[in-house]
Amino acid sequence: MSLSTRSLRKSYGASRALNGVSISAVPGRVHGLVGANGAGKSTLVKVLSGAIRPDSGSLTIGDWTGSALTPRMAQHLGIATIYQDPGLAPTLGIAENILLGREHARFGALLATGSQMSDVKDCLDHVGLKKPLKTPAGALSPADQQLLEIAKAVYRRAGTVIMDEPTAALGDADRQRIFEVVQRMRSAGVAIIYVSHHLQEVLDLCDDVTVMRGGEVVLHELTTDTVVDDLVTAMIGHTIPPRKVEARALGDVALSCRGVTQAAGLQDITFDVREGEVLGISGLVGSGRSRLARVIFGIESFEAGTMTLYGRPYRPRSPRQAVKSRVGLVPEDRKRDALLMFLSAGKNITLPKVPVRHLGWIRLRSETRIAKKWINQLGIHPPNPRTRPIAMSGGNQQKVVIARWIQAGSRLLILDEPGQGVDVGARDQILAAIRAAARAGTAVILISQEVEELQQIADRVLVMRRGRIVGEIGQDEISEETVIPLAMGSMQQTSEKGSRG
Amino acid sequence: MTVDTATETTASRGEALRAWMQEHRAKLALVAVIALIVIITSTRSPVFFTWGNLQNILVQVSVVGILAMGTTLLMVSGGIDLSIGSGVSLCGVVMASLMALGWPPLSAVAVAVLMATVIGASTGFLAAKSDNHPFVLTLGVLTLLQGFAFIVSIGPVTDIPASFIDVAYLKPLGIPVLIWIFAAVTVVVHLILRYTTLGRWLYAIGASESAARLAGIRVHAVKVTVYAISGLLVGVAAVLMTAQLSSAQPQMGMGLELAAIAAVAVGGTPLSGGRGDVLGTLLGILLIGLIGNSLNLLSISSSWQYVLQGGVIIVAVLAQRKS
Repeated sequence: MSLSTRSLRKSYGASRALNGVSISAVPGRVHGLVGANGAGKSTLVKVLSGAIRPDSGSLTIGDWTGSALTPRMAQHLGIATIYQDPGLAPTLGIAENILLGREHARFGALLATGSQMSDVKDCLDHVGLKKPLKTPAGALSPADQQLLEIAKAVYRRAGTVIMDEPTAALGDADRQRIFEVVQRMRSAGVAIIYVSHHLQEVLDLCDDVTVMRGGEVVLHELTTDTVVDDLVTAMIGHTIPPRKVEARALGDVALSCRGVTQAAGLQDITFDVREGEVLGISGLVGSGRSRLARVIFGIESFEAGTMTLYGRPYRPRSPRQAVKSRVGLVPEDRKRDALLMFLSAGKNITLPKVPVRHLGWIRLRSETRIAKKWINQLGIHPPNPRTRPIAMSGGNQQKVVIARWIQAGSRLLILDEPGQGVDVGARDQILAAIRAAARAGTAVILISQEVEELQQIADRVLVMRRGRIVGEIGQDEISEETVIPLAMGSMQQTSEKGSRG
Repeated sequence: MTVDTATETTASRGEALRAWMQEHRAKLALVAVIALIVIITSTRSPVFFTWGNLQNILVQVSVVGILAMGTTLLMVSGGIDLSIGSGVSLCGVVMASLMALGWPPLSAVAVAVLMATVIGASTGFLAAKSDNHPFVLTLGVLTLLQGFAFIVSIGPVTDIPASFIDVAYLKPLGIPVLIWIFAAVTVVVHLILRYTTLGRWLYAIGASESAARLAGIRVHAVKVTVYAISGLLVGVAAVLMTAQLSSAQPQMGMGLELAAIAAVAVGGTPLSGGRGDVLGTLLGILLIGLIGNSLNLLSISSSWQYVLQGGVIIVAVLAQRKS
């Protein structure tokens, strides 16, 4: 079903989230929507799904026109919204999740009719989710959970599907599965709005692309007429000069792993990382890249092999011991594992190393001073140590976590997907912060699926697959052509797309 | 306001005020309700607005207030201890029985407080080991302690030396000793939460246990510590309550945990933890004490007092919803 908006406006206090936004989605076409954090994408998605009411403007869906939707009306009009974090009932099975709210009840007893079940199976086939119908949604991989969300939309015969960052947490192979489903829905005549930070992905997948900035549409083009640089320029309003990793002398070996092996997981991991070095680690989801971070940080143990940190044997049994050895981890899921959303940014920064007098008496003044210093140094916005992370953009939240470990004096900093869910401009600042830490002598292990990110900052890249390091790539050779085939395990140099279904 | 906002425009100062009010809306609502009760009651009862009556109120709430302070620490860290009421019963009867056996009061008090602290620490240890919410676990401890209290004494223990009871009626500087102790506990708990690393870790664990652990905080040790502190306060409450009643009986603490949790929750500390402070709890305690006191003075039957108290708690909790 076609969907269009006219001059949508929405303000929160003095800030305008939407400032006259008109966009449209057409059946059988995929409309990409990109923009920096805070550009208004999320607000627009929420207006379209009925979660918030615009101040003015109008919406047209099929032959319905009105000034606002409610979630119920949106559903009734065939709009389905698929968020980055799927809203599934984790303990219910696949079929139960699809049927949730649509069960046929007879005298209060739930009965799934035969035709319902065959519909469910059709939907699952359509999205390519091949798991037993009773598998609890919580036991599915993130990619399968996304597919289940899409299957739900298909089951409800949604005519318009809005996808908000569906691939943000997924590896390349899993992304491919989502793309295929999107293409299948497109051929089935669904109108799709596709929100993403992955610009190349948007250009490859979508028919049209709209760029938002400051609550306004600043660019609307056919993707065939657009390249990534155009989008970046439109998003940030100016061009980012390409950066090269500067040559610099590396210091002593900081962390050295020799044959680190787990019963199930890491196999024979051997590498060194030096002071001032940025060591990139790449690999698909499940390749062991995050596991390696957990082992170094004392969350997981290992059975065989040794680690040394600055020449001393190192075998942390808890994150606390890792922190005491001045190792820091910026985890993949910053909301769950790093940030205290309702405590001030300042308290978040000083958490591992609060300035104290004695008996644990906190020196509040120096704490504020320290927090301000790091907020300024990393350009955290808003520059107020009292702001809570909940009120910050993803990029600034990430900078708070990085500031935490630099403040704690980490000699080895591990970052697991620091650029995930963060817009281009903020990602650049995060990379700059990492670079600054490395220049100051910190050894950095940067885990990333974004080859571009590694290209910009890593001194070399180790590629992992199935718990092993399968290759090392020097700074000048880092590219999708070198990294992806190693990560995927294909012998010939295939391009990123189509190498695995 | 802070140094940061001082330099900013008046517009952002208005914004800051709004943010502050939003932040403290639970407390503002409490202050409003308390003011309302004070105004209504003082127009109808000449006794209400007197120093003597205020002392009455504070003495009445001091035991549950002390327990509420421990519960504040627990709830900020995302924990809870339902066993504190039966802990008061057990420690009360143990202490009274020891005194009845001829122990010197000071030793009996020391045993009671030490026992309460050890029980608290053990509960904390179990809570730290368990993956489940401590609600059910401490419900088990509640029942266990209640059982032990009955084993120690099936009925009231009244054979308590007068020298012990008299202490509860001391009035240093004209203020009852119970109020002094309640005040001291309040101040210490406030200082812990606001100015110490322990307090910071409690907020961190309540906000996100996994983030706290990954920041290098000893989550288990902190949990044992906070349950032990709450246990220590249970011991203090048991001593004061026994002195106040001039006896101990195995059900003396029944329901105290619910009153304490209600006061903390009404004061704006959510069950999920990560937020809250002592001032809110203090207001919550005052509200509960005031309702009982003013309804007494207005000679409203105690059955209606329950109804009104429950109603006020419900309204206060609903008023804390996020807009």
